[in-house]
Amino acid sequence: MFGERIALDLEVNGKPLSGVAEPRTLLSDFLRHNLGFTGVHVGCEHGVCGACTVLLDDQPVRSCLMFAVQARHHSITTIEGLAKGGEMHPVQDAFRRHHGLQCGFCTPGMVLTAVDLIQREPDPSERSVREGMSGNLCRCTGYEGIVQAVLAAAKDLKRQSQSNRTEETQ
Amino acid sequence: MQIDRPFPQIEGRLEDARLLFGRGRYIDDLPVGPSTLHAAFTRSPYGHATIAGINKDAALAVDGVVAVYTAADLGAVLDPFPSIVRGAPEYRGIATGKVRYVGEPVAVVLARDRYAAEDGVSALDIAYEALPAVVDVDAAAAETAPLLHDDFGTNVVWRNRYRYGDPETAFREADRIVGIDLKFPKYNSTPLETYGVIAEYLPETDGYVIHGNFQGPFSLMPVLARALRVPDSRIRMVVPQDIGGSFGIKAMIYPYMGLIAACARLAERPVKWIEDRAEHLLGSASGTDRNSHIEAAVSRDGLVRAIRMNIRENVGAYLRAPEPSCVMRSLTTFSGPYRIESGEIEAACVLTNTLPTGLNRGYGGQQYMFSLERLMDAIARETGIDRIEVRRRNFLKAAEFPYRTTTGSYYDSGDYHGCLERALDYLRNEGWERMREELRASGRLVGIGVATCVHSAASNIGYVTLALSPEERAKRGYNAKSGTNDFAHIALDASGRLRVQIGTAGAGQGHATAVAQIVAREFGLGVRDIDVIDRIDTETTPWTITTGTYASRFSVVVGGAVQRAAARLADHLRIIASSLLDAPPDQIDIEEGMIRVRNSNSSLSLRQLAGAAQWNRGDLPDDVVQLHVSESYGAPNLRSPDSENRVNAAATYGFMADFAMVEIDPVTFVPRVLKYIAVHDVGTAINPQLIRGQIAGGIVHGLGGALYEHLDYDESGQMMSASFMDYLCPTASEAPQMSIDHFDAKSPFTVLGVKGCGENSAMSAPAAIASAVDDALSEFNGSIAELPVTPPAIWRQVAGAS
Repeated sequence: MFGERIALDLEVNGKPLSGVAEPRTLLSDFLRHNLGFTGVHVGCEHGVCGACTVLLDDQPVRSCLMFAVQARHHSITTIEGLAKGGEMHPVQDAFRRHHGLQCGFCTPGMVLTAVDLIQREPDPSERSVREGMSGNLCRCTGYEGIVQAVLAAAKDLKRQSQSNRTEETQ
Repeated sequence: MQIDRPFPQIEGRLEDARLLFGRGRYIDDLPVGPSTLHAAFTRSPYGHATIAGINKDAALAVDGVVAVYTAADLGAVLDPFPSIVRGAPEYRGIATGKVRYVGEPVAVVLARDRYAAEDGVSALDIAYEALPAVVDVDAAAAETAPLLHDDFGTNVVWRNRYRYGDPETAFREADRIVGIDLKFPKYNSTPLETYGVIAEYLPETDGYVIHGNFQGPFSLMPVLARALRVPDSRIRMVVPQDIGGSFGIKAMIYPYMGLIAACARLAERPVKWIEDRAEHLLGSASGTDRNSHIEAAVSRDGLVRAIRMNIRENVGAYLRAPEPSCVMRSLTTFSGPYRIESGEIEAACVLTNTLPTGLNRGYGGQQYMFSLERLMDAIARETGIDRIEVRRRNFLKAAEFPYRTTTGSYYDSGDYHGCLERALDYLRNEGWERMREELRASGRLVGIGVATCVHSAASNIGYVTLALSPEERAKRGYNAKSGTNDFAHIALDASGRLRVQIGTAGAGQGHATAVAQIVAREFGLGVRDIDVIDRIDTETTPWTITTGTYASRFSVVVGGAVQRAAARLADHLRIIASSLLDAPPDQIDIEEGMIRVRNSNSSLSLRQLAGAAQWNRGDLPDDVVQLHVSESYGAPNLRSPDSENRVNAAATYGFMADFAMVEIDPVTFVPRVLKYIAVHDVGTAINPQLIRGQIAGGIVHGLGGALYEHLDYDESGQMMSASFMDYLCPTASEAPQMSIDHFDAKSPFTVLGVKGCGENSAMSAPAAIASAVDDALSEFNGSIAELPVTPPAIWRQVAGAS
């Protein structure tokens, strides 16, 4: 069983990719070591710290709690796929402006979790940001900059979507 | 020439884009060759047991497993790691004969990938015979306790007594003696990235290449080199660009660097090991837990004349370098911010069946600040003097600096009253006391706590030698130790761009940004005009024994070296420009990328100057001038300890005024920190944003130690918190609202006027939070003597009162 290799196709950051994995290969290991997405960070391997969070069909998942084969025919977004055309995503930019990162190890998981949080709740309160980000551990920042960054990013994204709507109606 | 202008600032940091795009380069991201083997450790499931037998056959039969090594195999190429204390029990990093803590390495399995290595670990057959374990420091010190190291004859591995001033007279003449007994817990500030090592042996040179997320201190490199039986320079230590948090814990990776390097030598192939989280909690390192008694000789008006302290420090199963340094902060700054001129400290380090200790952000600071600040609160309680007033009365005054303490520490500068007042302004403006009264009136248990502490930084390596007696230090052949220094290299390339190389690897502190700011200021350039190399490869990076990112030394020591290098390069550029522009060097200003002759239109760009100096060197008159400069900087006033155990333990002494507001749920007794104020004297601030970030992170590290984080063992030595499900790190929901400010009592001694500030509230917050819990439980006469403050602990206080 351990030696068995399974071929799988999936989409990562908008590109179709394929690879071969054992049934027991974790999705986090597969993304990092087979496909080279080293922005997926592994902090605990038991689903608590959130560093390995990726978006699977736009839903945040802990890639250390999934097997690679479970991602077959699914679409994954890692931190490497968030920026478009070299421009930071508004959440990334807010983390930069508000000192929402220090060592950067929790950052990919934090940013992707925040992207999802703002999508679900475009106008979050500080309390709901703290609550919504509480599944991701950071040991450097004391969460100060992270909370500020997520609040600011929500505002930026709201402004952006409002101006997009205005353009559409014009 | 001294440039006097503010440090240029930028939004964000130079490091940010790389990390936000997912392009960080951490140890597990480095490419490895196809011949690389992957290691997994077999670790002890027992707190204390004899290893009755190891049968490798089943493990070696696992598909993909290449080798299984035990201490007996590794001993062929790896000696014990030398200890600071002569005669201390042998420490090899892997069990020999006995296991002494749960998680202790017993064997290493090497395989073609990590999955196969783990299969090998599962298949490995090891027989143990369990022995009685001891995990409590006082129980282990008792004569009847089970012995960890049979040959050593006792679990008390080190003890010493220190005496300063005249404590006997002070206690005899005291109006009042106030004493308390305290327990400080064992925790590890758990960097989110675990340890990682990739090692290779080079038979041609009998040397090693070791990649590892090692933060320093590089004084541990000779320890590693001795164990690997090679000269220091035969270890090429490569630290990756990015480290995912270090917090002192990543100093203690060195035994694993030794083990993996030895594996690589025996296997004749490179070996890679990435620690997992359970391994980290069981087998990396932690701060010490401490039982202590502290008492003060107090005058009628609340002045502390002397302190006596008895410290029993739990160093785990082995005393390994740099222990017993964990107790030294309790000696060298025992008086904190107060004028306490006499003291007597008895300290013992005790071996128990728990994870061996080492640096953890604050290294001994949180333990001693908890003691001293709990004592100040007890003095306030017993004398009836207000908690803040009793501190004010005992503070050193601004006019007294620089101040030599009774232990020899040379406090550079400070305005403790002013800094505390600034913190109190926040407290008043935010209406803390009104809020407390309102919440209390609605039936809630709310309290405010205080801690005022000295933040020593940029440690003098000589303080470590206080572990030896003055007689030992006076012996012939003893080599004294002192100082802390570092290097910086700066170069101007032919296109006019400046590049700086430093010898420390940061772990998120923003070193590259701060270095760029220092250099940009000197040349009147923008921060992004400077390139910084802040990773280590000892084959090419200059380093010293004291190199490393620890003891809050970066801005003081590395910053000082960078400033000196930048200023000297600027001097060279002025000399070159003087010949090109035909003006005396002292009439030449460098600003915004231009070299200008003062009060004239004559100028050239940095690019033109660099081009001329690189391409037309023959026409320049003076061959001494250079386009690249290396400078070292040793922090001032740091000598080796004297015969009375006096030593200036650090280069700078900041001050911290912390307030915490804590609420306790009246039904569940769950405590929660609502608000936190931290006003810290950091001297001159290079980058206020980075300082805020350091303090905010420090507050939550201290909060974790005060309320949640605990490496907890049961009586058999089993660890009860070996996953992040049980070892509770604070999340965004537990982090308080913070008001953070810095106060500038510029250091008169350091090059930039800066003081180290990286450990900050990680040391003071446990004391401030305990003080707030006391206040919240005032109706029950609550008094917190033990951390972490858990709901059952609070329940006991409440139940005890009623």
